[in-house]
Amino acid sequence: MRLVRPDDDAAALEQLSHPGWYVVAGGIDLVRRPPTDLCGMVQLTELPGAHDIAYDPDQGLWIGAMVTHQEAGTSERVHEGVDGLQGLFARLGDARVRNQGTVVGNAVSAAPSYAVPPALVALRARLEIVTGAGRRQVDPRTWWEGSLRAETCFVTAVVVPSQPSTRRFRYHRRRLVTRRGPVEVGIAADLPVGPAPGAEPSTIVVAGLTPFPRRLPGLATSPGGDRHSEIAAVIADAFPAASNDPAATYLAATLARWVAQILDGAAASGHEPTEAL
Amino acid sequence: MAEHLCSVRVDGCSREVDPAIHPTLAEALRDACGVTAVKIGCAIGECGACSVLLDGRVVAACLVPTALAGEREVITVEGLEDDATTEVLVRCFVERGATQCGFCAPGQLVMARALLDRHPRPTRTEIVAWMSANLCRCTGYEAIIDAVVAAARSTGPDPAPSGAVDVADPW
Repeated sequence: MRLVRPDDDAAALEQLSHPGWYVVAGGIDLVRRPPTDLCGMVQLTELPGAHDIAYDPDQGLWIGAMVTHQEAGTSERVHEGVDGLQGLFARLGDARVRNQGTVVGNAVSAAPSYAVPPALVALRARLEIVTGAGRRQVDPRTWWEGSLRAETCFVTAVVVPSQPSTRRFRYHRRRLVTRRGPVEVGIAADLPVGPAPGAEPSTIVVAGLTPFPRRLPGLATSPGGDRHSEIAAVIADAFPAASNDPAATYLAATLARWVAQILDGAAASGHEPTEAL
Repeated sequence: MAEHLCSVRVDGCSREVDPAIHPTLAEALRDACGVTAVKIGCAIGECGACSVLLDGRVVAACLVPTALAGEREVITVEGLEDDATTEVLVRCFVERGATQCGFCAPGQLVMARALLDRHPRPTRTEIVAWMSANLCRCTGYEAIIDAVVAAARSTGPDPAPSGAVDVADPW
């Protein structure tokens, strides 16, 4: 098995055009789910900006392909760019995973249990990719859904738009044990800070129950009223289940309670609930 | 050196390993380098038995592709610095009964040492959070936590005044 470290995009693309060659960032996925035809790895460590974290109020937060969770979780630029995002990286997995795993590696996998994909959806983030036509930014869902796989390409960065001071990001991880076994659910929330009239509604993205993160539509648009019923209806619509399936019914009810807690916790104090990840 | 081999510094010694034969660092350390103190438990990064330091940062060797360890420094439990911190840590593990069958002990010691190197005076809560990444099927964990707490008290500086610790980067 060979390893190459190209120092520009064109060289990386050329190498990846050969069968059996794969991009490696932290390498965790490649070990846990190795492709059967694996014969070589392309590590992006020498590409320009691969280890950089940059923040510009106009351009947003830019996290390069080789930035580990540990580096992002201790980065002042991440803290400056998106309130609450630093905490996701700092508490993700355990110290070993944070030291080796990369933000981009987590983002491109879209494994249901991974933490970064729902955050990307909640924050309207983009992936910077390289193709034969150069670098461009794409919606991460186009990557996860596979529409880019027809051409040789790879991801060089995660780009998160600047977050206004009136918004706050939070990531919550919950575990529920049903008769079918444990369910890990990640809930990413982009919330308005305080009761701001005319503010954009909260964005809630749920991961772990579907192959890709699912954004709940239309939440918290009507202050007052029976919010719990509204949330339950939205969740029932987003995660339809047979009415005679007790496990699915229990999961939907529990998810509705979690979402209500997240929305109410943000509205009440603006502090992260203690049970958050 | 053949093109497919990569050179890894293991506990201070340079070793040539073949990633095609030993695809993960844990396999390379045990089977190519003879460092059998590195244990392979789950082989999916969950148990911590294979914890080693890679360029000074703790990683699960079972999740590191061997090819990525080329030209890098690997420290196993056998290569931990022979200093007062290691001596106190080992003594505390022995005195507190923190090792029974011994399978997880190398990983536990590497994790504990990595914590004390970065955060010499951790609280018990921080130690529990950090060491929870390593599984043990014998001790019930309390003895391990007690041992790390005792080692931290023996080797660390005086406690920082309240609020002086950077909680954003406890590790």
